[in-house]
Amino acid sequence: MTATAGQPTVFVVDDDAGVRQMISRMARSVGLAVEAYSSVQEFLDLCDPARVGCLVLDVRMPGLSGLDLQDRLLSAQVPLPIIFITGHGDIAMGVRAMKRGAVDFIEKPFHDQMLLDAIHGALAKAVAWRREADERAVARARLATLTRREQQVLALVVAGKLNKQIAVELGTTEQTIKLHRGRLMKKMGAESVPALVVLAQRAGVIVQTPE
Amino acid sequence: MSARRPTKAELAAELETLRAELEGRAAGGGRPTAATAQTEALFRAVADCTYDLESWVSPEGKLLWVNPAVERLTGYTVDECFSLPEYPFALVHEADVGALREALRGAAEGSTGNDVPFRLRRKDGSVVWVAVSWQSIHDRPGLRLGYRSSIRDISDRKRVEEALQTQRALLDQIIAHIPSGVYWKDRHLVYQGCNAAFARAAGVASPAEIVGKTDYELVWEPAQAERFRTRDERVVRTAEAWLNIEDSERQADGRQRVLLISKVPLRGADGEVRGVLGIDADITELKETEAELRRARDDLEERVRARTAELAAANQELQREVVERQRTERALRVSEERYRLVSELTTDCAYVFRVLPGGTLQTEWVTDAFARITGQGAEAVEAPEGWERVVHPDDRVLLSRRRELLESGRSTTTEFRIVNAMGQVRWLRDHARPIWSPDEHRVVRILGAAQDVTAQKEAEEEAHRHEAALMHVARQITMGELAAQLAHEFNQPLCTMVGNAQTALRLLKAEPPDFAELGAALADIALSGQRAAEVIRRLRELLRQQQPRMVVLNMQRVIEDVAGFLEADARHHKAAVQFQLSAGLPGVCGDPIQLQQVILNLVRNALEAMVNQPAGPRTVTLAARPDPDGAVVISVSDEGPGLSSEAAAHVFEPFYTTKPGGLGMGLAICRSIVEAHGGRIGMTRNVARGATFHVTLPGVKPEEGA
Repeated sequence: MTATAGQPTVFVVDDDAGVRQMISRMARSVGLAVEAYSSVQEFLDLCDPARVGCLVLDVRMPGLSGLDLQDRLLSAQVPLPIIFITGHGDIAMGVRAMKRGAVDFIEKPFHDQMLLDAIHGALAKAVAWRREADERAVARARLATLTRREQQVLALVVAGKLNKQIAVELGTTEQTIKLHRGRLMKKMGAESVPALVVLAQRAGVIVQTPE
Repeated sequence: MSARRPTKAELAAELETLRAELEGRAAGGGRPTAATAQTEALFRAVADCTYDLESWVSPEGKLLWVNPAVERLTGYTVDECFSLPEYPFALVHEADVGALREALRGAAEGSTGNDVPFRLRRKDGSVVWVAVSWQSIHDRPGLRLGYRSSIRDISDRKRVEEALQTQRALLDQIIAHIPSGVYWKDRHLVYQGCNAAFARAAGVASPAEIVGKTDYELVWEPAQAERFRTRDERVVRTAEAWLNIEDSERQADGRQRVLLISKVPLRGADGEVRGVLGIDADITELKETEAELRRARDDLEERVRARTAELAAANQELQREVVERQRTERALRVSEERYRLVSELTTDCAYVFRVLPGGTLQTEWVTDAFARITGQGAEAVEAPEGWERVVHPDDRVLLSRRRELLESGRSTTTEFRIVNAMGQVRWLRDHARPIWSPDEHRVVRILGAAQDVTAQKEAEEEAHRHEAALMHVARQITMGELAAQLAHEFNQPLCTMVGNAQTALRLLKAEPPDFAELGAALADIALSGQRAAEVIRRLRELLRQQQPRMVVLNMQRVIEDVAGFLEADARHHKAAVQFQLSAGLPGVCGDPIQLQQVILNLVRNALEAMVNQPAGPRTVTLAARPDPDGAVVISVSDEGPGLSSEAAAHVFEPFYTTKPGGLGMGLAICRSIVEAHGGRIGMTRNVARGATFHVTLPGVKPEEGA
């Protein structure tokens, strides 16, 4: 996934035009970029999920509900923080939404600062999530450039094995392992073993802790 | 002058041309577009083919058009002309340019010129003498469009002059040899010469012999000679020509000839008449041919007239036929359309059955709708008793009854079901009428129409089902749910107002304030306020619309109808409902759904009151008993914490609530319903714990009861 440049956007999805416009206006008044959608379907049809931002989402809407959208984004692994807005104060629903990773659950009517704080928090989270996703992508891309042998060596290096041990385990000489190790450090862009461990983790290599 | 008899083929060709033109006129009438296009093409052809160099120069001196003759005359192609620096001056001999410029100066302003000579320098460098004529061109409103010029090669003229000499010699030859007689006399009418033809006619051996003779000395009879002389004398005297006089004269060979005589005075260089020149053309054959041609023409014209009349008549007849056919077709279309509409719109199956003496029915006539409705072919119904075969087994009894009525001479309307070819059940409404025969004293025919009313029947059933569902839903909607719905409806505009107001404040603090956005926020606040007001208005209307449907009710049955629902509700609240319903309650006049709503609401309240009670026996008691005054008292008791005396005082007031998230509408609505039924609602605190709500409804007198 590639990061989309530009300001993170607040996506408001609410079937009630009055509430939708009010939230949009409120966010705009503090200088945020806002896009408003009247239904979940409209959001899914028109909005690129690769964009960076957060959702301000009404729980109950005709057609697909806010919770349905949350499910879809979860299963598509779209890192879009969600703030739920509800007019019902349904505790069970709020619990369910929060368990599934909603960043906030706000009851109507709400204090403007409460929503704005939640939005700011969510946007910061969105940027962080996006950065992490980008870092994972970079690490995975670098890992993909390693030869099979280099990957084997990498797995053993991050497991804390010494060159000598690795040479024995792979049935080769220490000198050869040194060469592999130098090349893979370069390819992974790691300057130290701890940095390599972090990169390997990001790239999804299972790192065994040394016994 | 040549006199030649036209051949038969030529006459036929002429006739054909005339006929074609005539038919063209008869058929075409007026086709202005085609005619214009033809004229235009003709003009273009003429312009392009004109021998002289034709051109059109704009007022600015720019060449607009030049005909292809330019290439022949100058050696430049049309296209090259357009690229010449200055037309026509680039083509002009250096020595003549100045003069021609001067001459053409006013051309575009309207001057004209005719036959102005100049030398033209051809592309190959050779020089040719030409003469130019020009005139300016205007369009209709008088706007100047430049001038057109026509340049003519006059080098030919000179050659012609030279040729003239040759031609004069030729002329002498011709005079000598033409079939007409030519002579000339002096002013004393003495022959000075003639040609061979005249010599022959005059009976002299050669033209030379006639010189010095007078008419008296020739072969003419004296009267003839006198006549010739008189005419010649007159020409000499008056000095006027005497042209084309037809005369019939006997000539030297003794034959009578028709002559076309022309005489002209011969003048000297001083203009004095010196003599007379005569030409006698023998037009005998021409006259005969002419007569023949005239006859042929008359005949032709007669035939053309006849053909024209024929064509006109045929044309008129054709037009009449066309009009007639269009009228007929239109009438036919209208008729077909009507028929189609009628057959499409008529869904009735009309029929005539003959009743045979044995009582068997025979189909005499049935409309197509039968097949449509039953799915059976016509042969199915044409079979004896075919109609009855499709009837649904359960409805055959109805059909028998219908038969009896019809046979007794009465008309009948019956609704019954049939099973169509697809096995589907269709409802029919049948109107049948018997035809009684006084002679046979029996019904001999049955005629009628059956209509497919399945859709109508299904709609009726659907409406019944819908009504039942509606009542079910209405019963189950409690006041609390209504309140929740109301809360949501109010909450939306409220939230919008609050949010917009807060944003407006924020916008006001900004520097500079965004007044457009501020205005929009305030407008939205106003709009939301109106929306909230609209919710209230709708609620009022809803309550007003719920006019109770007053019927006499047995309250025991009314409660039993919602008992299942109440018990389910109680289970949901981990509680139980205990019913204490006295038998033999007096009847109550009221709306069952509204009263059920009151009961539901009171029980729901009671259940909710016990939500925070420790687990254990949570019981709501619902009792109905007669009152000594003949009223019915319904009471709902709970075992909850009860109400404070403060709460007890306000509990029936609108918007008073002790429940978190409650709206305070339930009991208020209950009270309005009960009071609308002429009853009372009250609350007492229980001795042990909890509260009891009482609804007292006036009973109806036994004779009014159901």
